Amino acid sequence: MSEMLGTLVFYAVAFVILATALGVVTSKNLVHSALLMTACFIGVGVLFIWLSADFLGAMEFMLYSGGVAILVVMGVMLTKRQDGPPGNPFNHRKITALGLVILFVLVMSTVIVSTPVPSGSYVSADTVDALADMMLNKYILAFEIAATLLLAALVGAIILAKGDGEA
Amino acid sequence: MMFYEFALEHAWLIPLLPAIAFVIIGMLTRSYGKLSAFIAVCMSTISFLLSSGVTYAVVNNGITVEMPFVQKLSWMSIGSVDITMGVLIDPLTAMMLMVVSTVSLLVQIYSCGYMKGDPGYGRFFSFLSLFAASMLGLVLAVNFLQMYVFWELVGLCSYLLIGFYYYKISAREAAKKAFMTTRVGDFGLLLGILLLQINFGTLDFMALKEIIPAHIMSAGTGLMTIIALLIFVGPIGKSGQFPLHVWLPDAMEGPTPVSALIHAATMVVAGVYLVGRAFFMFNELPTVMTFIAWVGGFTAFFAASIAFTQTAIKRILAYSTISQLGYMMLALGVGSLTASFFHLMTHAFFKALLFLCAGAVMHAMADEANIFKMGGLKNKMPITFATMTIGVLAIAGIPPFAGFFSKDEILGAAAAVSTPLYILATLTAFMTAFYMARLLFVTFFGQPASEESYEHAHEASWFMLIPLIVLGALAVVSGLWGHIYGFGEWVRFGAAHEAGIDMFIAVSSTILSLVAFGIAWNIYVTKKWSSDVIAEKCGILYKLSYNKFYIDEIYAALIKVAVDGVAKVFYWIDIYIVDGIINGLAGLVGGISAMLSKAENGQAQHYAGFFICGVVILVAYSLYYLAVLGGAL
Amino acid sequence: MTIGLNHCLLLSAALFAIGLYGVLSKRNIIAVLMGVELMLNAVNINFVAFNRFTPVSDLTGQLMAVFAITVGVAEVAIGVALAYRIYNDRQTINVDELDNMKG
Repeated sequence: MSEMLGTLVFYAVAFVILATALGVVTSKNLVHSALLMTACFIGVGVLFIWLSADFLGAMEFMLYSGGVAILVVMGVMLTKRQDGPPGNPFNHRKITALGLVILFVLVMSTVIVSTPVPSGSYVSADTVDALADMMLNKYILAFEIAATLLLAALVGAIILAKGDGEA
Repeated sequence: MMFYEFALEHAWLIPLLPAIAFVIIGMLTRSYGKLSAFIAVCMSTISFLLSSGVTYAVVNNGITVEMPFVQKLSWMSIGSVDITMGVLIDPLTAMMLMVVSTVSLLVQIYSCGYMKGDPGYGRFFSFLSLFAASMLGLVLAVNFLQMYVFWELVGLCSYLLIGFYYYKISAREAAKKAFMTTRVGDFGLLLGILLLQINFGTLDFMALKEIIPAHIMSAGTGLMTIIALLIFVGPIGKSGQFPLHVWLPDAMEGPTPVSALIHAATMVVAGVYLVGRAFFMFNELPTVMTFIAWVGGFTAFFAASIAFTQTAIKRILAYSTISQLGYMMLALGVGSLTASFFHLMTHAFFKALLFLCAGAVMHAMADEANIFKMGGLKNKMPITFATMTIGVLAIAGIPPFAGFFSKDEILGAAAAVSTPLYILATLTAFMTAFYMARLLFVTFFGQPASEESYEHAHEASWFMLIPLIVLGALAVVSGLWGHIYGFGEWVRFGAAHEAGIDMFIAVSSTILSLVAFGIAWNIYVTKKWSSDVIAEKCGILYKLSYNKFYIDEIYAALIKVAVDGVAKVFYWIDIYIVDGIINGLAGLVGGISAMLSKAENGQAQHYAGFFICGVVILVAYSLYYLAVLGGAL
Repeated sequence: MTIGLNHCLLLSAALFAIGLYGVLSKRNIIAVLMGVELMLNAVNINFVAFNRFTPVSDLTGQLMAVFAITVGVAEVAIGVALAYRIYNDRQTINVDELDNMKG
């Protein structure tokens, strides 16, 4: 892959990510928002692969654009109030929030641009092996805790969604 | 491996087993009374067997006071302070282990019968186990800190047990009183321990044994006298010495087995044991020794004079305990560790016996405590009568019962050092014989004071009688046994102590005791002499004694003046200064928060917005700080 | 011009800002959740980018992203369950109508 092509791909992916993300926020239809969000996640997954993190890219596709998207769509479906497409309105803080966010972007960009970048890079030939090795050796505790967290989230979600009356 | 070697190597099990019983009963089986009692008695039996093994090992392996058996484990290190826990076994420890485990086992067996039908049956056994555990741990301590920990645990247990009938106001008050009074002593002890740690950097008994005499040789007695006096304040509180003896008679509010345990084998002798354990320090300080001797002698006499006129059976025994503890302190003060610990052992047996007998009597009389409302019980309760008689003869020092030998040792030791102390001690012995005879005669002889309760009276169950018989046997033989088999060769400080009987002292004290018995017989059995007339003739003395020299009232008045005065000052400060500041602050905060609460509308997004604002400001500021001011993070 | 760390960081900052905007300005709780997801993804991009463009020797950054994804998924599950529960209890999922926290 030539350098030119790489740059082009990055900008294309970045455009997709930002455009779909904006769509998520501004769309009037909640279902559209959810679909755009899925597209955004696919973009992020492609970006991961571009950053030579292929395992993470695969995870992103499966978990986010697969699992999370489905969860969110189900959430939309379960909480629908009236007939017709579920709305996605703004609240009265729309303008203030916009100002705040722009301020945030400005400050963060200044930080990023003004901070010296360390030179050097790291590309792993085989991310899956390396990640598995770390996960089951050095970070085994974090791994186990993550497993417990998932279990707790599973139980918690069931109990929350089940309600009081339905024992 | 022989059993005794196992016991020696695993001596730490001795306190641990009752502690386990406490945990098991407390957490699991509390509501199953019989099972709880079974667990407690089992654990006590095992620790009794281990104690016997340890004692055998001490004799067999020739472990002496100079060459103790020590096991240590590092507990924690804070900076340069190393704190260890462990077991220290020498003949002193072995003797105490035997006494404590025997008496606590017997008391637990007795309690199986005594506490029958009590709703707190299981709870009672869990506390008894904890008590035994703490006391055994205290005995095994290798350093002052470990001893202090168990010392406090013992205090806690006594609080729990005295207040066992917590629904009775008097029991609650007595428990509080015991806890607070001993706390005064414990505070002194703690200060002494801290001073030791600061000055010598160690609390280990074996290390201090080397350091302190050397220190006194080089630096004089000044500092050590202060430390020793502070440490002695602990035993004053715990062992009920004047003037901190007031809690002990009130502690009778607890169930009778507790009284036997506290007043015979465990809590009160902890003080004597502490002085004995730290004898290497006290022995170097003649001033402190004299002080201890006089505190002990005075307490012995003073408490005996109160016991003269008391009417409640357990109170008489309580004052007699204070008096006997005074004896032990006296013996320590005149430098005879052997005499003191010999008396400690015999006293443990016969005093436990007396208390348990008293419990059996009260049990039979529907919890009546006044001896003048009993009478004539000797036909109804023959075994209790026989064992009680043994106890009385033992404490009065009639040969060949246990008390004779140990009391004789103390009198001999006192006579060798100071004649006034000897006279005081002999007088006390005479008084002891008199009031104990009074107790025995009034309770068991004469006409029953109330027909109804007399008819109701009955011999106690076997659970209660067996401990009485065992203790009775011990009260007969322990003195003679110790005398013959060279108690002084093992439990001693310095050179071995020769067991010898000074004929003059022995004969005179025996005659005095017999005379006291005779007087009591004439007053209370044949009624030749009227006790009322005597009381009238003595007038003020009788009143003083009957009201326990008004010590409690004096304390109450002192505390009232001091506390009320201080309280008035603080009340003023509180109302005008503290409240003023607080109210002002509260008004200020209220005003500000009223303003701020407008910003709180309860919406999460609103809060998130403020949060992001904060983040942006923080990042912007650090950017400014780094880029413009050129600072480094 | 070669794409480096800064480009990725700027992209992630932008994505984060868009997610933040969603979180702050949407009424529907599901939409707010979507905003949170966008922010989480922005953070993951940072992890991976730092791992790729700085002189490191292993894949710790990517591993952190893995854990972040795990936590993010758990968070969505709980979030949707909560939304459903709130909807059942109050017949609304508009965040600005939920002001129980008001003192």
